[in-house]
Parts: sequence; C-alpha cells; structure tokens
Amino acid sequence: MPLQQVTYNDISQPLAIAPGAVENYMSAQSSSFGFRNRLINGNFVVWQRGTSGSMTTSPTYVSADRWGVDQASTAGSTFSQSTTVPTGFLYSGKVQRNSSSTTTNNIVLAQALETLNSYDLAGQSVTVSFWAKAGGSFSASSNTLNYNFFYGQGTDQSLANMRSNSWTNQTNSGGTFTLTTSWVRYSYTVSVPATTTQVGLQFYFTPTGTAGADDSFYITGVQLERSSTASAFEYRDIGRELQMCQRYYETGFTWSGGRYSDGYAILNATFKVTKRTSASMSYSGWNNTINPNGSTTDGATFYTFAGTSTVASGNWQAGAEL
Amino acid sequence: MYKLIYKFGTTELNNIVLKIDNNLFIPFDPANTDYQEYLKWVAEGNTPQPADE
Repeated sequence: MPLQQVTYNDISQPLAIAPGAVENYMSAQSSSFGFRNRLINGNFVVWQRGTSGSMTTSPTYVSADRWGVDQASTAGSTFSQSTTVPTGFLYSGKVQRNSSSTTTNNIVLAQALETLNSYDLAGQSVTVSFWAKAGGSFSASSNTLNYNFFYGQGTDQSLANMRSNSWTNQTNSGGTFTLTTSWVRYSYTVSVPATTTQVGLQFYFTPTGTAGADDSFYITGVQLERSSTASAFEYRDIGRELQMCQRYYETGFTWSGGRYSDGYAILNATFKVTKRTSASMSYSGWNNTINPNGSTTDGATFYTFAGTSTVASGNWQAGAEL
Repeated sequence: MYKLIYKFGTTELNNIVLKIDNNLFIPFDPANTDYQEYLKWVAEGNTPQPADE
C-alpha cells in the first residue's frame, strides 16, 4: 500500500482527524483494522467438530465452530463445509435440506454473541454483511433467504433460548433477501435498542416440496460490525480465529504419566484456551470407563482404569457454548 | 435423560451430571448452558437417574 506523506508544520495547532477516517481509509484499502467483526468464524475456516453434521430439532453446534443449526419440529438437513466460494474465500457453510426430504420446516443457521462482545452495541447502528448463493435446486419460495437480528437484555443467554425467543425482553429485526445461483454480497443495518446487553442473528429458509440434489444455501464472509455501512470483510489469522473459537469448544488428547497400585490413573485435560464457563466434557477413544472428577474454565480431571499398562490415553472434548 | 454420578471411589454425589444420550458430563455451573438446560428439565418435573453404586 503506498503511503502518503503528510507535512504538518504548525505545531501550535492540534492535527484533527475526523472520527472514523482511519477506519474508512483502511476499509477502502480492503485491509483489516482491529477486530471489527463481532462474529467468530464468519468465513467458516474452523471446523473442530468435523466438516459435516446432521441438524436436529434443537439448536445444536454440529460442524463449523460457533454456528448453531436446527430444523424446527422435524429434521432432515445437513450443515457442511463447502469449497464453493466467492473470490477471496476458502470455505463456505452449506445449509442443506437432504435430497428427497419432504420436511418443510424452517432450516436455520444462527450465532449468539456473549454479553461482553455485545454490550457496547447498545444504541448504535450495526451492519451485517455476508456473501450468499442458492443451491441448484433451492426450493424456498421466490428464492427467499430470511434473516433476523436479535436483541436481549440478559447476560450470556443460550443460542437455544434465542431461537425460542426466550431471552430476557427479546426483540428482533428481520427481513428477506432474494438469492440467485451466483455469489452476491448482501447487507442490512439495524439500530440496536439502548437497553440491549446481548445480540445474535440467524438466517433461514423455508423449503417447499421434495428436496432436489442441492436444496441449499451457501454462505460465507459473515460480518457484524458497529457501523452504519458494511466495510470489507475482516480477515483474521487462523491462529487467532481458532483461539476465539476455542473459548467455546476445543478438543484434546491426554495420556497418563502413571497409575496407582489399584490400576487406576488420574489424568488432566489442560485447555489451550480459557473457557467461557466451566466446561461440559465428553471423552472418546479410551479403553475403559471415564470417571470425571471435575472441570473448570481451564481444565478437567478424571480417572480411568489403566490396568497394568503404564499409559492410558484418549481424546476429550470441552464445551462452553452459549 | 440425565444421571447423577458419585465422586470417584466414594458414594458422595459429584457436582456433575451425565447427559446420557450424548455422554456429556455437565458441571454444576450456573453459566453453563448445558447445566441451564438440565435445570429446566428438572423444573419440568423430571428426575435424573440415581448414581451407580
């Protein structure tokens, strides 16, 4: 980026820079400037749970980090990684009704933000921008993609409660976009109520008839920023994006360094990133039953039977999602 | 469905509940949304399974 030299000789007068001028300049250069995007994994680069997952009737995190999905009342849909992308992206999220499915309940993609990442948006204009396209057999009437932006007054309420409109004093703004089978960048701007302490958003479509081979929408580059206009998508390095995701979910591998005389070993799962809350734990790949001792925001301890082996090992998953 | 668990090697209940359908061990932390879901389930009149002896 070429630099412009600024000559300023009158040191008796302060140099005034208009509010937002630097941000606007950086945006015009398509350059990142400090965590404008409040959404995590908006470009779908982190998939710790796997690259495809089946939706359930309850909002659940099944594949791409931080994004929950559901199909209300009935299920027959999938949320998966796609390499069908607009220029400048590696992955998109594919939100699909399974081929031949006849379920016609809304299929939803959503993300809820923590209060600590939301509270300063109160009373401000917020713009959400994203790239989206319809699959080849997108069945929504008039190719409609619906959106909602949610406002609540509680603290760190769950995605499931957002989806059921049960956040404290929950309200929302909503609207529609008409998708095509080509990538288009869309945006909308909302005025966040002054009493808001937590926000979230969702996209959904209402399928019709019987699903074809690609009854889906693809989405990527989703950005939520404190601005009345959409700026360039903010690219964060993968290490930072992964760490941001790991505040809510991470996986790890642990082995014992020894065992007691009765054959049991006590093990630690030390988290790479401090969790939002004490973590819910699950375990996989162990030879014997796991007996949990406890978990905190920083780790968990548990027992398992090692027998005469000097090493017991396996995987763990720690979750602290909204 | 949920199940209470004992602290390892004792018959003292742990501050953790097991969600059986996905083998998820949930700490009794009011900020944990899995625990909030468990409390809602109990408030609806459900009872967790007792811990194994």
